[in-house]
Amino acid sequence: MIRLLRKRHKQVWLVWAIALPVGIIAAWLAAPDSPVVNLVQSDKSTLLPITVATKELPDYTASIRTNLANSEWQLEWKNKKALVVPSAVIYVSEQDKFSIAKSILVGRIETKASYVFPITQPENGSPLKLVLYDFIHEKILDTLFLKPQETKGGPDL
Amino acid sequence: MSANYTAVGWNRQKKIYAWCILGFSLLYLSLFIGISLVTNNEVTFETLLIRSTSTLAVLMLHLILAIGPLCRLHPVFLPLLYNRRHLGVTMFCVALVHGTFSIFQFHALGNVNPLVSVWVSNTQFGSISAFPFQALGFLALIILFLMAITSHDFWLHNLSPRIWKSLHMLVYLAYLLVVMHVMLGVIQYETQPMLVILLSAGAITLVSLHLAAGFRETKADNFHYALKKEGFVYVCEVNDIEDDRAKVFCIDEERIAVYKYDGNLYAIHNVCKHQGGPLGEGKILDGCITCPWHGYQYLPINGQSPPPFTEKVSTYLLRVLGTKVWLNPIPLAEGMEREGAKIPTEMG
Repeated sequence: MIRLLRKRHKQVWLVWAIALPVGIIAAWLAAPDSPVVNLVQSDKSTLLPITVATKELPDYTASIRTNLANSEWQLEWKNKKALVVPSAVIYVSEQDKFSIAKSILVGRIETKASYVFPITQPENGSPLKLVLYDFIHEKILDTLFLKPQETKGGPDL
Repeated sequence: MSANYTAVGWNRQKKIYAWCILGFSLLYLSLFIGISLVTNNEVTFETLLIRSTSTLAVLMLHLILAIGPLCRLHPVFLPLLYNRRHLGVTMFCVALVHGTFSIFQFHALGNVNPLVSVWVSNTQFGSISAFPFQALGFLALIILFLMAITSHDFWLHNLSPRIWKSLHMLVYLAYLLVVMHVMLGVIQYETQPMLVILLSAGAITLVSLHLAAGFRETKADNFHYALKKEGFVYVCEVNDIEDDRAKVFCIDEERIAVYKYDGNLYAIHNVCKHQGGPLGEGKILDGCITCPWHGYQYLPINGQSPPPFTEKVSTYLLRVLGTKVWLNPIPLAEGMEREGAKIPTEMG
C-alpha cells in the first residue's frame, strides 16, 4: 500500500471513530420505550365458538367472536384478497377522531388469509370501532363499526 | 497471478478457503434457523431467511474489515487475506438474499414498484426513530454490488489500480450504512440490548484495529535515518535480515524492501503492482520475491515478474560496508537490473 492510501485509511477510521458511536448512541436513545406488541396471530384452533357481530365487505369480513361464558372475545378478520399496501394494522379506537396514541393496537394483517386476534369486550355493548391503518404511508384505509348482539344461542355450527 | 483472463485461478489454498467459507455459512444458517424454529415455532420461512442472512452478512462484513488491519499488525493472519475477495463476494450474495426477501416481504404487495417503494414509502428523513432505514441498507447493497462485480483482476487492470482501490474503499461507507441500517431498523423495535451490545462491540473492535494499524504505519513512515553518506543511508546490520526474507525501510516517503537471498542483498520498491501489497512482508519462493497478499512474484535481480508476466517494480542500489547495510533511496527505473550487494562470506 502506498503512503497516500495508508493515510486515507487512517483518516476514514478516525472519522468513523467519532461517527459510529454518535450514530449508534443517537439511534439507541431514540428507540421508543413502549413495550413491543406481539403481532403474531393466535392459533386458528382456538377460534371461539359464538359470532356476535359480523361486517361483510368486498375485500374482507370482520367478526367478533366470544365463548359460551362470554368471558373471552376475539376479532376474526378474513382477507378475501391481498391488500394493496405492503402491510396494515388494525386498531380499536374509542375516539371520534382516530389517534394512534389513544387507540389499542389489535394486530397486523398482510396477505389473503384469516387472522384471529384477542380483544377486550366493548363496554356497555357499544359498537366496536375498528380502524384499518397503513402504518408505512400513515393513512387510514377503512373504518368499521361492529355492534355485538346479545348472546343467546349456542355455538356456531 | 495470471497472464490471461480466467474466471478464477483455482489452486489448493483457494479451494480450501472457499470450502471453509461455504461450510461456515451453511453451518451458521442451519444453526440460526434451527434454534429459531425451536424457540419460536410461529416464525415464517421468509422472516427466518431475512433474519439469518442479515446477521450472517453483518458478521462476514466485520470479518472482512478486520482482516486488513490484523495482517498489518501480525503476519500470522496473512492466509486470511489471500482470498478475501471470495469472502467479500459471498458476503454480497448473502446480503442480496436478505435484501431481495426483505423487499419482497415488505414492498411487493403494493401498487408501487417494490424498488421505488423502498425509497418513497417512508420519507421521514427528519426523524431518528422513524428514519427510512431500508434506504440505507439498499445503498449499502448497491456499493457491495459494485465491489462484487469489479472484484476480478480484469477490472483492476481495466479501471486502473487507483480507481479500483478508490471504488473498493467505499466498503467503509457501506459499513457505516449497514450499522445505521441496523440501528435505525431492528433496534427501534427491539427491547433486548443484546443486538446493540454486539454491534457496538464489532464497531469498537474494527475502529481499534484500524487505528492501531494506522498509527503503527505512521510511526514506521516517520522514522528518521540520520546516518547518510554519498547519497546512501545506513538502514540496518546485515544480520538483522533473515535469509529469504526482507526488512522494510521508509525513506523520503517511500517504502523499500531489502531482501537477503543467496548471499546477496537486493532492494526493491515495497509496493506490489497488483493491489499494493507489501512485498517486504513476503518471502523468496522459487527464487522470486513473492507478495504475501496474492502471490505475485518478482525477480530480486531486476524487480521484474518472470515471463510471461509483465509487472515491474523499481529497484534500488545497496552497499554492504563491514556489517552495515547502506541503501540509496533514489529509485532506478522499474525493472532495471543491478548487482546485488554481496554479503561478506564470513557473515553470509
